[in-house]
Amino acid sequence: MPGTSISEKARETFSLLAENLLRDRGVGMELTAVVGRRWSAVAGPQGDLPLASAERLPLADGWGLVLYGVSRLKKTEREALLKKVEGILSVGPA
Amino acid sequence: MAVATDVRSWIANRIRQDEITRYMDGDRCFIDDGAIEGALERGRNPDAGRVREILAKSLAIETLTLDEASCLLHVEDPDLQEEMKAAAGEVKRRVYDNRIVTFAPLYMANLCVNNCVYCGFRHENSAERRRVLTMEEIAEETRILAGTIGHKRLIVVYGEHPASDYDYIADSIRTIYGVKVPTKRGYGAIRRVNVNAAPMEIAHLKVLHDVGIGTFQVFQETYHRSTYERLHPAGTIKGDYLWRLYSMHRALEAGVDDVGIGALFGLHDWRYEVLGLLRHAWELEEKFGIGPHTISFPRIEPAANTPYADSPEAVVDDDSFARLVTVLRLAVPYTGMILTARERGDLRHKILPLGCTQVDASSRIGIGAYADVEEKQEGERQQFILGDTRSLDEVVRQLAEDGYITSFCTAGYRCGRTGRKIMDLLRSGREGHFCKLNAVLTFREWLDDFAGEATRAAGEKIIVRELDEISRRFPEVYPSLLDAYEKVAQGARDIYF
Repeated sequence: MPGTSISEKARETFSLLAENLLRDRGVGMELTAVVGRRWSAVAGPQGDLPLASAERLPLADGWGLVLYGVSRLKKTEREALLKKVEGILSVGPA
Repeated sequence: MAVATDVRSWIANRIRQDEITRYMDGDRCFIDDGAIEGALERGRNPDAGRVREILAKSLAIETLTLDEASCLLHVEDPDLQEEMKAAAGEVKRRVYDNRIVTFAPLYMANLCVNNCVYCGFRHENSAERRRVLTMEEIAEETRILAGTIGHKRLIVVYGEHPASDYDYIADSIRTIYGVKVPTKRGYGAIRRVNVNAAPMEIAHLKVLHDVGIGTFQVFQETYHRSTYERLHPAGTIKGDYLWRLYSMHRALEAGVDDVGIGALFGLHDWRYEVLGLLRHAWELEEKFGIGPHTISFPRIEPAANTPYADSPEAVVDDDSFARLVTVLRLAVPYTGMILTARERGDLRHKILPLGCTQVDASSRIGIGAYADVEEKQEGERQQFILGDTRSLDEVVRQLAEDGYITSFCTAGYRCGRTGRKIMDLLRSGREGHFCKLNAVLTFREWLDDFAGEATRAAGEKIIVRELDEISRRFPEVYPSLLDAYEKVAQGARDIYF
C-alpha cells in the first residue's frame, strides 16, 4: 500500500497479534490506512473475520483499526491491545 | 470542430510514458494477441466432461485460465449451455447470495477531446449539446438522487477535457458527499461515489483517492489492439492503447484498491473481449494481489449523429450476450458484475440470474437530466440511448417479487473490507454474510423513506424472510442485528456491520 507505509516486520508482527486475538478471543482486528472516507486493509489475520459489528478506531498518522466483536474484550484488555498496536506502528515506515 | 490552443497543450501533456512502461515486461504488454487467439482456437469443440470439470472449478470460486474460459465460450450444445447458466447462478449465490446492489449514473460533463467513432461525446459530433455542470447543479442533481429517488451509490461520469479534469472531478465528489436531504424517517445521502473517467496519472489519482472515491472505472472498450487503433484516432489521447490499458495499475499504485474494468461489446469479437477481460483480471491479481472489484460488459447502443453505433461491426445478439455474461461469471467468480440500463428491461430480467450483482435504475444520462421535469431521453445531450428507463421503485419491486433483496450497502470501503481482503472474504463467502446483514438494514431504510405502496408490500415479505434466515444461519449475531434493525426503523441511518 503506497502512502501510509509499514515495514514488512511490523506487518508480520501485527498480523501475528491479530491471528492470536482471533484464535484466543474471537475478535477480528484489521489494520487499515485511512484516506478520507476510505479505510483500506493493510494487515490482519488470515482467513475469515468474525461476523460481528465493525467498530472503527482512528489512530495517529493516517492509520485506523477495525475491530469485529470487540465487546468480547474488557476495557483493560482493549487498552492493552491498543498500546501493543501503537508500539508496532511506532517502529516506522519500511 | 477545432481544438483550441490551450486545450491542445493540455492534451500534449496528458500521457506519462513512464507510468506505462514501468508495468510492462520490456516492450510487451499483458494483452498478448497470439495467446488469446491461440486459446480461442484450442477451445473449439469442447468435450462435455471437460466443460463439467471447469464448472466444478468455478463453483469452488477459483479464477479460470484463458484455455478454460475459451472452452466455455465455445459450448454450442443447448443442454450444456443450460448447465453453464445454472452454475453461473449458483456461483453468484455462493459469493453474493440473493442480493442485488443498485446505483445510478450521474453524467457531469460531455465535453471531450477524443474522437471515438462510436461515441456521441466525440468532439467532432456537432449535434451534441455540450455542457459542464456547475457545483450547484451537481448538488441539485444529488438532492434528487439521494433525497427523492433514494440512491446511496453513484457512478459519476466525465468526458476527457480540461474543463472536467481531476480537480473538477475532486470538487464534484466533495459536493456530492456534502449533500444531506431530510426524508420521511431519516435523511438521504450518497455514501459511495464510484468514478468512470479517462485514464489519469498517479498523482491525479491520489487526489481522487483522498476525496474518498469508491471504485475507479476505466473500460478498455476493446482489447483487440488493431481494432482499438482503428476506432480511436491516432493523435488523440484515447488513441494510446497502452495508456488506457495500464489505468488500473496506476490506480492501484495510487492506493485506490477497488478498480473496475470493462469492455464495450460490439467493437470486436465477443469471445476475444471476454478473454481480454479475463487476462486483465489475472494481470491485476498477479501484479497487485487484487483482481477487479467489478467487471462491466456494456453493449454499444445508438447515439445521436453517430452512424457507427447504429450498425457496429461485431454486433452481439441477445443470445450471445447471455453466453458472454455466463462465462464472465464463471471465469471470475469473486468479482461484482454490472448490468446497466443500456439493456432493455425484459432482457435485464433474463440476464440478471446469470450472475449479475449490480444494476442501475431511475437512470438518466443527459447532462443535468435528473433536475429536468421532462422525462424523455434527448440524444443530443447523451452519450447513447438507454434501453431501460424504469424507476428505482419499479426495479426494486420486480427484484423483490423475484426473490432478491436490494442492497444499498456501502460499508466495505469504509471499514477495511477492500482490495485483497475483500477478495479473500468474497471467495470464502464471509463477505456475503456481512452483506446479508447490511442489506437488511439498508433495505429497511429505503423502504421506510422512499418505497411506493406496492413496492413496500413486496419488500416487507423479503425482509421477513431474510430475518428468519439470519436467525437460523447466524444465531450468534442475530441479537445485534435486531438491535441495529430497531434503531434504523426508528430513523437512525447508516448503521452497518
